[in-house]
Amino acid sequence: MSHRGAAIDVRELTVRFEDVLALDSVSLSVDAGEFVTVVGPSGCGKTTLLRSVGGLQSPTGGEISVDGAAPESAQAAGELGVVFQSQTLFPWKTALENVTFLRELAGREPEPDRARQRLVAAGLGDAVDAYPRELSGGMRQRVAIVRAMHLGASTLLMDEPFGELDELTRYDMAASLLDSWRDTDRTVLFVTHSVPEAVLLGDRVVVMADSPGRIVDRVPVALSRPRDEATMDTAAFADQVAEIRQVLRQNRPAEPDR
Amino acid sequence: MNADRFPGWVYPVAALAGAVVLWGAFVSLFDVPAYLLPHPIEVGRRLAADPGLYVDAAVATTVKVLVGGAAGTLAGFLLGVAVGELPSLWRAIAPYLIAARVLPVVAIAPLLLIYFGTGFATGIAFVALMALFPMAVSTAAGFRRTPEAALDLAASVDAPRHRVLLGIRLPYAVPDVVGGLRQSATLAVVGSVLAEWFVADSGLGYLILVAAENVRPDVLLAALSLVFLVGFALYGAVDLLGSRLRRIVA
Repeated sequence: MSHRGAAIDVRELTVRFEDVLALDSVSLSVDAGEFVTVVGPSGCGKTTLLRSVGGLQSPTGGEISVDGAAPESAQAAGELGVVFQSQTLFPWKTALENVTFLRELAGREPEPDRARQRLVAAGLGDAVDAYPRELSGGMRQRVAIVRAMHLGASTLLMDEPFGELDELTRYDMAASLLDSWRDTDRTVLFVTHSVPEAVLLGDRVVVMADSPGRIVDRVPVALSRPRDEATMDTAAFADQVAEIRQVLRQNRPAEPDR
Repeated sequence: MNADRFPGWVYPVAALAGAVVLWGAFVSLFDVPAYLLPHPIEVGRRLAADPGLYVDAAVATTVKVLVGGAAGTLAGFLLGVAVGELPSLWRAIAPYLIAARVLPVVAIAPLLLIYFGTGFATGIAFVALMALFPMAVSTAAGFRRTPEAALDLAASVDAPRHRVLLGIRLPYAVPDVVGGLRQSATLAVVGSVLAEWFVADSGLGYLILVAAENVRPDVLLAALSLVFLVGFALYGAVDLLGSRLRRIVA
């Protein structure tokens, strides 16, 4: 864990949709270079939290800063790389063109050679010139992650990027995300409803509960890096998962989620 | 049975030939008088007897279709883009754009005659008006089809508006724009013939009008077959252009 100060600082963030309190006074600080995962049931506001940090959702109250400035400044500076749950590749562009296009949207040089290298490094060597419809769901999300990396943003915001993938693909993707993140000093805020995924990826797991959306616990993950899929077979991993599941259960008096 | 035994164009051509043969057989068999329905061969003879007349009329009609249709389609596209980009403008004029489909544009024709006189400009203006609305409505619909996530992605890097418009929203709108183009092309042909009825100075529509007044169904059908030809050629060209455009963004 790095100690270069807070890359993301959320103070008493409140978001209200009509009469629903999506987020109730949420405070969260993420260090530069830290990988923080946010886990919680559907409707706990975890996506709203991520969208607020990304400047895609206006807060009702509270303050958010990314690299010491408002999210809008981070957007303009190209310091926010967002990966969405739904497929956001443009169907009329190849994988490579999709990767370079985000930089063009941000007003930067597309750097196609570097983009090609990144795709190859992500195991997408054969897919560089393929169109999204020719790729599997997992490969499409890999391209979307490479696209966010290629933007060159210091902060990556990921909203359940593996949520639509099957169980096996999901952990494979998580492991390769760790591979590509390891050599960078990027800050990551990663939202998921999978506890094993949150533990595998995070330096810290932020646990949320719903009605109203709030943070109920922050659990440091005591597993050494580098981690891979084998990490999930260890007793320490199982203990961490069990601990977080217990926190989730304790904070869910209503009907169980999924 | 193999459905793909012949190239695709063979089937409609065979259907057309069949229809003409049936028409001829019907006329011969029942001795239908020529002032009601002439034999197809009579119609062909009529075309061959005075080709200059029909070619001139077809050219006049085609020019109206192309010039008026292009102007109306372009104006409709730009209007569609404007209301697609400006949601409040859309909210303000959407009811009228949609109502304009119900209002027969032909009812505006007398007004056009007052403004533009009984010449070429009135025909062009009328065809353009006919072509404008479907294109505007379809384009506007296409612009509302951009996925939210794509706009979020663009917002996350504070992408400038013109890049979002040209790089994201326009490509997503292409299928609707192509649909609008098809409707506008069809209406441009209808509009040209209608314009030639009330301006009555040239073209296949004018020829049809004169033929009807003189009870000459052979001339009428000869002109009508050329209207069909012009419409078919235009639709084919637009269809080809449309599928090219769609393939770019598929």
